[in-house]
Parts: sequence; structure tokens; C-alpha cells
Amino acid sequence: MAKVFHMARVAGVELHYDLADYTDPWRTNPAETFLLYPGYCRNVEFWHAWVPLLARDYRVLRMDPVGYGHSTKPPPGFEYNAERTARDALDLMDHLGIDRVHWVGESTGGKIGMLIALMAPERIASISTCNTTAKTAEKQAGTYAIGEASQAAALEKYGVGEWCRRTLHYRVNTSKIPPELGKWWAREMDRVPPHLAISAFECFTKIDLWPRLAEIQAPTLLILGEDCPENRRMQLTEMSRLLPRGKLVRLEGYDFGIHYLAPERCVAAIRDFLRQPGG
Amino acid sequence: MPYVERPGEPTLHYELDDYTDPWKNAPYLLLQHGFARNARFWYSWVPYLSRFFKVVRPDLRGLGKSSASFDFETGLSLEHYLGDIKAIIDHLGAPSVHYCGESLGGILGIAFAAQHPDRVRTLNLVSTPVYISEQNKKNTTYGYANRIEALREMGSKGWAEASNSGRRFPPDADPGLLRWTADEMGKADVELLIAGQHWVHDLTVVPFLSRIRAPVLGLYPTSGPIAGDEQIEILRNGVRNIRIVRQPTNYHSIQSFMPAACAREVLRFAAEHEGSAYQE
Repeated sequence: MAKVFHMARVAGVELHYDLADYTDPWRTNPAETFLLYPGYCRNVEFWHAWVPLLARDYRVLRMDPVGYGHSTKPPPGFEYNAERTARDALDLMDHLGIDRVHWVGESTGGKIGMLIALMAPERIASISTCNTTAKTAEKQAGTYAIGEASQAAALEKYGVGEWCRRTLHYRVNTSKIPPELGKWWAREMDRVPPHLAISAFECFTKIDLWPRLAEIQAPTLLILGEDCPENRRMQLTEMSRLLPRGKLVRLEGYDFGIHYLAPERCVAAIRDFLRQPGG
Repeated sequence: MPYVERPGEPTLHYELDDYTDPWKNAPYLLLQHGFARNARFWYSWVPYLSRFFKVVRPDLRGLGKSSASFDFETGLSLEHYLGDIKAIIDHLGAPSVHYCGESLGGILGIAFAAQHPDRVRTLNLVSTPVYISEQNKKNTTYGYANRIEALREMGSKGWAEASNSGRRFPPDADPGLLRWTADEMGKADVELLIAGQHWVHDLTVVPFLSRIRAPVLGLYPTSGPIAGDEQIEILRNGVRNIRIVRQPTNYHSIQSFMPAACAREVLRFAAEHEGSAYQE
């Protein structure tokens, strides 16, 4: 069932979004806004469990990046540009009259938040990421090729939905989810045409935030599934050291997909982080 | 924003808030507002419930975004209201719903659960009287000869302000909440409210109580000015399966000023009935 919320036409593209607000309507100072931004080929729907956890106290904005979910699907030949992708989120915020957001991004969605914090620091009140690394590891790129020459070749061969089905166990602990969730996950990612999935992947693997982490002034919470490969744990530990206001939180018993498997624990960690002085 | 359009009947509007897992078939929970109010009055309940139930908030005919293009003299009756509720449930394609109504919304729920037992999974009543007591009729005239004259002279908003401050909200309620409540109730067409008062004046749903098959949860103030002990006793005696939970206040609008406490009771009751897991 394809649920479509609202479409905004900004800078020549149509962006699909939802802005949930169950805060007291008589407040004189409007509630702060969270922007929940999806990872690779995912969309608005992947945050549904988060909205009720935040929406009594905050406005909650979710959006589909270009090419994902119900947002504009540029034709073959289109090349993703990370700054442009980040700019789309800012354009949507402008469109909705939102000056500043608490950014939550999972996986590559966290990278876009960090880019915005560098491009327009005044627009980002805080950043929280789920399993976001400063740079995609070479090894990880190989994993997602599933026996083909490259991830791009695998996407071309299988299509995004089938490729997702075959790689789902790298993305979420499939022993902890019902099979229907896996099928749903693949169906939702399959909304992205292969040429866009390939271009997005190429764009994201080029992003290297390591040299610029020290410039990010926003309080940044890195949420890590503790059961992850050692290499990712080391990366995130180092990132939290380099970020001037960085903090690492490890959730035991989880690896990938923590934003999906443990929304309550992620939100509790974020609320706790924001309560701290300087957070 | 869904609308239900029907030939010869006013168009009905409802809000749908659904954050349930898309691969599950979560049941619907219908939240029905009371006299002069609208779907917005449930906003503070949604975050507590919408992860587990598809939350549906209809505007009663003539109120909120539902159409007021009908004859108020002939168009307000139990039969019309129950038809509206059924039309919304049919529009959702739901075999049945958990029903939660506050005040008049609960009165309608009692009648609906009795008339359509297969469409109601649980019935949740918030500050719901089973009839309007003589005492209540007397207490709400605000210096005028009767309730009708009071409404006509004060207008919807003036009447709402007077009615809210004395009986519905405690003295220490958030002034912003009181202002907002009066503004929202003030949007109601006063002629609709007058016709509504005529209709509820002699209404009683006591004869329906014994025909309710669904488990019933009643949420009430410790000592309520509109739905008090006398009314709760009638419910206890008349309904087969009922649980009464009291909130520690003596004011009527617990739905508005105690949303978390009330919503959690409804969540627990409906989830227990489903045998489903939930987290507060």
C-alpha cells in the first residue's frame, strides 16, 4: 500500500514529505523540529515507528530524497551530487518555514546531515546518526556486490528489490525480524530505479568526512549497534573523538538496522543526549 | 485528509494517524469527540496510541471539517449519528474497531455498540454520562432561563468559556489550553449547538446498556460534575463486562487535561483485548 503524504515542489524537483505535529497547538514558542532522513534507497516509511516517540514534544519532518520513495525520479544519465542532495533538504525546510532541525540520519542519511552542518551550521541544532561512518569502507562496498563485479553490476542484474532481498542480512539482523518485514523492506527499496541506486551509491562512496569532522560544531550523537564488525566500531570511536561535540552510544545486542530494530532505545538515547548541557 | 461522501447526507471528515507496522494488519481505534468539539481535541492522544492502532478521528456532522449543510431540526438524531459512525467504519473497510468516545462521543458509542455489536471490539468511555441529569441542566444556564437561551445569548464561544472554567477544567489548568478549547468550540455554529441541546435534553442510552457485548472501559473523574457516581452506578449495573478507572480530579474534561493518563488506560485495555504487545 503506497501511502503518499505531501509533495513540495522546490528547485525543480518534487519532494515527498510528512510533517507530523501533535504538540500543544496553543504554544507561543513553536516546538522544535526533528528531521528524520533515510539511508540508502530507503524512505519516509522507514521511520514510522519513530514518529509517535517524538511527536508529542517535537514536530517531526520526514522526507524522501530525490530518487527515493515518492520523490522525483530523474531519468538515466542523472548523477547524484552530495551537496545538491543536502541542498534539497534545506530547500524543503525553507519551503516549510523551518529554520533549524535536529537531524537524525541512518547510515548514509547521517552523512547528509553532517554535510549540511558544514554547509549551513545555523540550520542544524544537533545531529544523531545510526551506524553512519565518515567514509564507506572498501570491504563493505565489496560485500554488496554479492558475487558480481561491483555493486552497480549487481543492481543492474537483479534490480533494486531483488538485490535488497539478497543483501538484507547485511542491513538488518534478519533473525530478529519477521519475514514480512524483510519482504516489505525490499518492496519499499524497489521504488528506486537501478540507475538511480547505482548513481547514489557512487556518490555516497566518494564522500569522505574524515578531514572535516573537526569542523562540525553541532552536538553529534553517534549511535552504534554494538554487535557490529570491529572495523566499524573503531571508525565510530575515532569519529566521536574527532567531532568537537561528539558522543558515542553503543546499543548492545544490535548490529545494522538499529533505527529499525530499536527505535525506542535510539530515541531514548537522543532525548538523553539533548538533555545534557551543551547537547 | 479523508472525506466520506454520501448522497443526501452531509459529507463527513476524519483524520487518520497510522504509525503501525505496514506489514501487520493493526486494528483501528476510533476516537469520537463530544458536544461542540472536533477531531483536533484528540491530538494529544495520538502519539500514545498510533504505534499500535490505526487511529481514526471523525468530526461529527456539522462540526470540524464535516459538512454542516443539513437541516439541524431533522438531521440530529441517534439514527443519523449512528449511521455516520457506521459510514466511517465502512469507508475504512474495517470489519470492526475499538471505539473510544468522550462525553457525547461515548453516549453515541454505547448506542452504536448495542446496535452494531459485531463492529465494536472494545468500548472505551471517557467522562460519559448515560443521560443529562436535571442537576446538570440547571447548572449550565449561566443566569439565563435555560440552556438554550444561554447558548443563544452567549454564542458558541461565550458559552464554551463559561462552561469550561467552572466544571470542565481545574482552576490550575493551562490558560493556553482553556483559550484554545474555547476558540475551537467557538467555531461551532450556535444553531447547531442549540439543536443539539434540544436533542440531548431527553436523551438516555440506559436501554442500550444490556445489549452491549464488547468489553467496556469507563474513565471518569473521581467526582465528576457531568458524569458522576449515580451515572457510573447505572453503567455498572447495566453493562455485562465493565471496568471503571477513576482519574484523580473532580473536573469533566479529563480527555483534554490528562491525555497521557487516559490514553494509556485505553491502550492497555484495547491491547489486552487483542492479546497484542504494546509499550507505554
